[in-house]
Amino acid sequence: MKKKLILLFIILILSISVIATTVTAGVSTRNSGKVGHSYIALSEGLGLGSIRFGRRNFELGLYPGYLLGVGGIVNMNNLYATFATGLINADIGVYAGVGVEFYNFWICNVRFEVAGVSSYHNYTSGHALIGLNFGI
Amino acid sequence: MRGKKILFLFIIILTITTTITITIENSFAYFKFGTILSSSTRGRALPGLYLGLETTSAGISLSSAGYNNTLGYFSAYQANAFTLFHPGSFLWGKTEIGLGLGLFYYKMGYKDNLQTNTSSVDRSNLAVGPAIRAFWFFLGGAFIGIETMLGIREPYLNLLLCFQDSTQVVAGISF
Repeated sequence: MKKKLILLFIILILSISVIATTVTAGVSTRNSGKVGHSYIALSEGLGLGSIRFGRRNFELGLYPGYLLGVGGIVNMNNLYATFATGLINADIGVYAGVGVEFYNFWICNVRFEVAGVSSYHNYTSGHALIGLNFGI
Repeated sequence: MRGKKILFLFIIILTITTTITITIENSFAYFKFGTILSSSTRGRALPGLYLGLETTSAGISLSSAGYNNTLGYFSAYQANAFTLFHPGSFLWGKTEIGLGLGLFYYKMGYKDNLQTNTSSVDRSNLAVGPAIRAFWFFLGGAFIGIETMLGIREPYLNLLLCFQDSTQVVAGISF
């Protein structure tokens, strides 16, 4: 019973967060649009989820699901979408996700991303990432 | 049985919400129709069907995938509701992103007796959680993208970023 209540509470909080999220927060909280930026994030089990290096709206590096690839970012204030393609164990894969950047401090901010990755030979999975985005 | 009731209730709520949204905003409705590759089996990706109904700022999507063979069956259903944003273009095509909630339900069984073709080992599961959509329109109304739902099951594992995800690669057309 207690476990169900906790689950319901989490679902409620998430629902409120989604409904109350505005996309009008200051552009100043974004680092991904800067000339040079890098992103290091944790994923399942708080293991390494992603390491990416970017220039303006393009990134390359290690994506979740061990996809080594290159991708682009489409910005919308503090929201963004990311699309990438690359290799997963010598198999062609694609990656797409939606994220939000917030809490800017010094040269980095927090970046939370939910994404899915899929490869040509039957690998598809979803990931939640949280990490730091450094921009100069 | 309880899972089916919840699924039915969720779909009804989504339909009503979307209808109200369309009515209030007095905007055009768009349809999306396509195929998916679903991660629902946790192994081999399953092909399935995808249907979306939306306005310019909100929408729902329904999808299903499964198989039925001599050894068993598997049926997966997913329903997502999104607030939609159109952030701009990626390469030459426009993009669409969505933030919302999703519901995932599956039922599976193994044939206990291959001669009588009966299944006795049945199992079903239901998950609810946040969902995202990232679509890229590479040619007019034709799009490809990914929808992911992160099922909230075990709060302690969720804090470690572990979720029961249901991810699908979607390719289709919007009209």
